[in-house]
Amino acid sequence: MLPPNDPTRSASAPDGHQAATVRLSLSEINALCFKAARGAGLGWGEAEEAGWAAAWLSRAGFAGPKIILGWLEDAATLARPAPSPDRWAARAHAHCPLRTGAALADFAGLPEGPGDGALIVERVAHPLVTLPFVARAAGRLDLGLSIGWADFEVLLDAAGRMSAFAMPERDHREATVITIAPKHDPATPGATRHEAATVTAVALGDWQALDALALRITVPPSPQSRAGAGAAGDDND
Amino acid sequence: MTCESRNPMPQAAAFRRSPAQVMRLDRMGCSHPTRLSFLRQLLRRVEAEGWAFDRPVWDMDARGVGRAVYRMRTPGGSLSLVAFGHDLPADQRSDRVIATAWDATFALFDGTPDAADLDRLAANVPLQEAGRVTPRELSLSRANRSVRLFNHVVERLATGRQPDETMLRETGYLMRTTAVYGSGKFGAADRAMIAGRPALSAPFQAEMLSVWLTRAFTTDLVEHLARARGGDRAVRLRPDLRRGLGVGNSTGLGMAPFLVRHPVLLNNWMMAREEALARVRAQETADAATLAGFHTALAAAVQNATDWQSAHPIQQTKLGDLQGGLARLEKFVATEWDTAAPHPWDTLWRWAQAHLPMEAQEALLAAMLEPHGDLIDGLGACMQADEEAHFGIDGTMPVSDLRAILQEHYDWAIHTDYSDPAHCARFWYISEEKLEPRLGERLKEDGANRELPLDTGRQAAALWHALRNEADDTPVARLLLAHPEHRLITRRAQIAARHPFAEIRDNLIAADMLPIDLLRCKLAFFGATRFDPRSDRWVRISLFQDAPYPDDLHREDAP
Repeated sequence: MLPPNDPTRSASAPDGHQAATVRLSLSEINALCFKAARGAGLGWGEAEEAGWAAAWLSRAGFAGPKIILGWLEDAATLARPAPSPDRWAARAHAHCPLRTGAALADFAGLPEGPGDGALIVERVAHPLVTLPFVARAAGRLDLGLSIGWADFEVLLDAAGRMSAFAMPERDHREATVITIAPKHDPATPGATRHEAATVTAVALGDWQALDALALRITVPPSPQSRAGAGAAGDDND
Repeated sequence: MTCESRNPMPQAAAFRRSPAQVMRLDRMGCSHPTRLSFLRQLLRRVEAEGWAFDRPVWDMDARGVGRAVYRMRTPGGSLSLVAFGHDLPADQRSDRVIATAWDATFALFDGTPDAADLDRLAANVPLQEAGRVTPRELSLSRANRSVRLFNHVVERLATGRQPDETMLRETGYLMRTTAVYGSGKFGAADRAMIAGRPALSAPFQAEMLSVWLTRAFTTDLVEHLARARGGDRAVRLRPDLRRGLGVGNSTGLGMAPFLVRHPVLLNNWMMAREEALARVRAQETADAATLAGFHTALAAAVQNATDWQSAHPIQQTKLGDLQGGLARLEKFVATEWDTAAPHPWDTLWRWAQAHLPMEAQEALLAAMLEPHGDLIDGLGACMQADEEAHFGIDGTMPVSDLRAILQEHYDWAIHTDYSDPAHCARFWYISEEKLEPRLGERLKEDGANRELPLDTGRQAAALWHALRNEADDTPVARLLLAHPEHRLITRRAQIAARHPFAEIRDNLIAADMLPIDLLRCKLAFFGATRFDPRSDRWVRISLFQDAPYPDDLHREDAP
């Protein structure tokens, strides 16, 4: 019987000689955050959205896995939104950014969703998580959208591409009011953020924390489990 | 399908098979490779574009330990297979994904690797999943020797003799790959990074190229070891024997979830193949050259069915069906098929549907496509997928439409009682051991609380039941806000509505589900032959058997 491998060496383990970061491909970032979100207790369909959002953010120049991890650490305390026209009011808890984001994309084109006029969503935690979904909404509406909070605003064109912008020196974890508004005629950006940078270097600690969540969806080995998985005979023939 | 608007043969639509017929596991489990298979697409491109081959590095010792580089110069730049040979003790040789050492390991490098690249790869590629590669690498793979045949061939060549032909035919390969990773795995280039390059835009082209070059490595290695052992007495492998060798592949459940997790891609593969069949059936006449090509293909299918061996009872039954069915097909073609009557291919197909077992029907499909390259090869360009473009959910869709989709595309699923143990006997999961996908028995094993969402039929039924309480005009966005647990199947259903071949129309957690049917379908699209199950969820196959080698093409002395 082969000894079981250390599973942490099977997914996205670092090189070993450079320990500060590990460079993941976008598909690895997607898969890691998908599994981590499921491991953190989300439904499979929402976990798929989390993986997709992590890859989208990384491709757009953000630290996607770090942003997803920050949200997952708080996810249990966050609320789903109650969409209504013009303003999505918060109640006892801050809004979950993934459920808010998914709803923003899902409601695009409906009276409660982004499109006509400005839409205000109160107290969204980890608001960067909503960016990919607003981009999707822009694509679905075939309409440029702006999204902003505090001193931060980005434009997403009708193809869902983001304009270049200066990132404020904050981690954007705290809950904040976000505003989404149509931009019928956004200035054509010289270089879109998508073309500018892809960030796939993941801090070792972030990767380890996400991997620990991802491992929650795996099943420990058993003799029965091993027995069914391979060939019935010997491989040395 | 993305190519629909450019379809030059709309009249073929009347000849298409329905997804309800095609997307059943028993039929998918009878799939045969066709000229649209991915390795055939690769070989056609290599030939058409005149890719030139060389082997700039061969640094192997007498035990086969060392490194080699196999390079193809393509119009879009060079692609190089970097191969590492290892000295593997027999007790470490396992084809399972949980193995940690192999006879040889490989990476497909984008360009020509320099010494620093080779050193970097030497430090990582032999570790496979435990190493890291970079976006310069397009695939990562490994192979084990087929020990008995490998040693036999080396011994014979070393003493100036050719290997036993029967032994060669029986096994069919010197090494078998046990995993070929591409598309961003372990740090390699993401699919999106290479999808725009013509040489790599069709599915799995990097992986197929890697395996094709691996085949050349395997025959080079036996000749090298024979020379090391026999010196001047050693001979090279006779070209016809060499050509009959492919590369084996040993694979298990890891491949099965892929088809479920990539519905748009599966649709595009199936749709291209089905459109190809429909185009052939829609032909009003058959000319002599095409008929001759068909007869050649049919004879090859008969020979293949004769050579194809398996010890597995399920496969033996299927091989019996195939051999018997092909014999009847040959007789019909020779004595009754009126090739001068209108729509002769459709006539042949309809006869086959009425008289042949499924195995032979699907073999006929491949043979019918074979002489129609001009008509169908362009469909190969429709087999890739921009999956992200289809990922978003249309939240404005009213529940009545979603209900209609379930009735049209999930009729096979929504009326099943999934509390019946026979209909929910299995569960798919990821093992802690190297994250290997596995299949468990729900009532006998732990782990069902960590089940993967491959229970597509059961999820569709759950959505169907949830929709009973919803008003027709409720938007899907509202439904998913209240019921996020239906998000995954709602996405699938919306995809299936636009991609009719996206969903396997069978219960993937049923007691009688055969995982090898999923494997056979996917492997046939790769171009695999000699499908040989070693259990209901583990299989060996051969790739590139009887195909040319890189050094067969574009040699200076070639005609």
